[in-house]
Amino acid sequence: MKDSFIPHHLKLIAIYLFTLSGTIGLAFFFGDLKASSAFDYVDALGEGGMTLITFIWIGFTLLSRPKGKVTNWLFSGLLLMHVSMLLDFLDEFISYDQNNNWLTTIESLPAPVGMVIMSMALYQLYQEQVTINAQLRRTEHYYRDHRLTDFITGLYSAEYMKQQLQRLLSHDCDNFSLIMLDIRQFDHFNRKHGHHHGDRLLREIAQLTLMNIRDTDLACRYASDRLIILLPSSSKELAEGIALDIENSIAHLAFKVGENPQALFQQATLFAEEFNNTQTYHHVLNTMNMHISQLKTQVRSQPQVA
Amino acid sequence: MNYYQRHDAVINDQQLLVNFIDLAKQRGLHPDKLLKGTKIFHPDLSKEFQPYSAQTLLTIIENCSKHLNAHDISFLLGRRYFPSHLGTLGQALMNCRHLADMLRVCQCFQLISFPMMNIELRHFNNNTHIIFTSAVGALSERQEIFLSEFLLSTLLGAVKYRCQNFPELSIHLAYNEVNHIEQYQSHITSLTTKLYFRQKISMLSIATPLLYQPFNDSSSSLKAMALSQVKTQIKTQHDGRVRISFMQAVTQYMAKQLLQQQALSLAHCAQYFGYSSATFKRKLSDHKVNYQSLLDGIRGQQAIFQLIVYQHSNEEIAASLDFTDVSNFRKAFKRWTGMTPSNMRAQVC
Repeated sequence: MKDSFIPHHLKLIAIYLFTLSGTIGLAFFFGDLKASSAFDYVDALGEGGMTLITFIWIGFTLLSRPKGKVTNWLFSGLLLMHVSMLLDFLDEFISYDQNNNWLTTIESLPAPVGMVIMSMALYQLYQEQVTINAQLRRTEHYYRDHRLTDFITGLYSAEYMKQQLQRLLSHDCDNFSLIMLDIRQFDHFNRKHGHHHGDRLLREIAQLTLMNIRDTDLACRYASDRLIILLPSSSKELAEGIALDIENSIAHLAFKVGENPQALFQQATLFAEEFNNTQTYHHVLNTMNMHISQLKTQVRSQPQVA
Repeated sequence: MNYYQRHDAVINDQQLLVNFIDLAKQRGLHPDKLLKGTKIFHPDLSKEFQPYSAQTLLTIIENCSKHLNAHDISFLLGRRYFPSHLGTLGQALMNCRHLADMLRVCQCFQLISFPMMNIELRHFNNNTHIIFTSAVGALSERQEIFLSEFLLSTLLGAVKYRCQNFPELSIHLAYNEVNHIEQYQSHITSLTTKLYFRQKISMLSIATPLLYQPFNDSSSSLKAMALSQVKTQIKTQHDGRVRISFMQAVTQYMAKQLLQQQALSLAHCAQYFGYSSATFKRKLSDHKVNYQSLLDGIRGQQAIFQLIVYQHSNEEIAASLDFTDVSNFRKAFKRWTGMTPSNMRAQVC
């Protein structure tokens, strides 16, 4: 489970609690409780619901966002809207005398101000998203579904690759290439050094792979120790070139287990192939798997150089 | 001989449970959600361990498949199971002479090795077929897939580890083709593996000589020592009785009676196991099966095995399984598999 951001927002939570108690205190200080016969429950239900919803929005904002300017803007906008809704809601139970009637007049003021602030916050959120999208290049193509993320490598899973291939194949696409990568002796590594370090190795190799591909390419975790890379509009020669680059960088990765200074060098088997859109994604993936298995058997039958 | 049933708290494998929880947690599922309906409280696991029942494990598997879209957990659990998680039995298995020896040890200590699955070996024409069925009664599709994947991943992980390479295999699976085929491709199959789905029988077939290929680094004295330790453990943990699953005992008895064309009825079975008919019925329903469906399942499995392995004719199979005539057999076969015997023959051959 990802860590919650709540502990970082203690200041904002304090502000919220202060505003909440301030608003309620103010309302009760200047007004008097109505007789229960005068309550309009339908109205109260509607306004109470809106208050609750704005509260939930504030909750999710604080849960999901790290500290920062955009978060502060979102929080302030939502808080002002929340205060307006809350005053409106309290109105149903509290009557103000003539002198203190100003409270009902200004109760709707925070909402529009809050909405303006929210709009500005959303604009900044958009700009932030543009930056994040740039960071997500090579791991995401046009479509986002957080449920398909692989928890070990942070890449998308095979399911996402299947969807992307389906999308590509259903359009009139140019020829595209795929690269499949398989870490050699990964089982052996896991057995010797433990799964924790095995997972870390996978993560680092995933990162290394990302560094070696272009912005238009997409890398996903296939399964176990296999990664798969989609190179749209690319020839086999180009894909083989990139595969060689990845192979070389993995061979030079000096992986360290824990505090042990000894570097462990890994080897990967890679296979690249070009496809056109006459095939189904099943067929495409099966071809890739068959070839990588074949290559692995060939590698195994060659004498190992110590 | 004593039998364990689906609801008996007899499984002592704490590592499996903790590992399961960790893998699910890593993928974003809270332990409380995973353990919902099992009466196991997560913090208690690290303090004092209580044995759990097959039903508990089945509930956890169901919870996991319901909440998580992660299809690698069964495979990873299988990979980590042998040899380290099996403890002393794992040491014994590491010192077995060959694969057949390992399988025999697993069968003898079913409750410690694979409490959820029966493993049955059949030899024919220089091939050995390892048939696996549920040892704890009827399973949901998710549970069946999960347990089959776990078993295959463990067995094939062990084969790969001990034989250093991957022999030629064929795998028949009872269930429909799954969406996460990539897990099969990278965990349990190689170039030479043939994988068939929708076979209504689950088995792993391997050339018999490979099963008896000796391992160079095995030691019979170390194996004997480990096994005697396992037996001592059983004495303290299970009142000294080596248990096999109730469902396995029942299906074995029924299959034997069926093939020997001997009297077979609910009353007979109940009497053989020393229960009244009513108690026997209740025990079966604890495992979510009834006598008729169980018999039907056994006949179906036998028929499919005879058809795809022995390649018997319809007449031979109908006669061996006590059908009055061939057309009755064809009807039943269609009900079991959704296709006629000749269709299935054409598909496999």
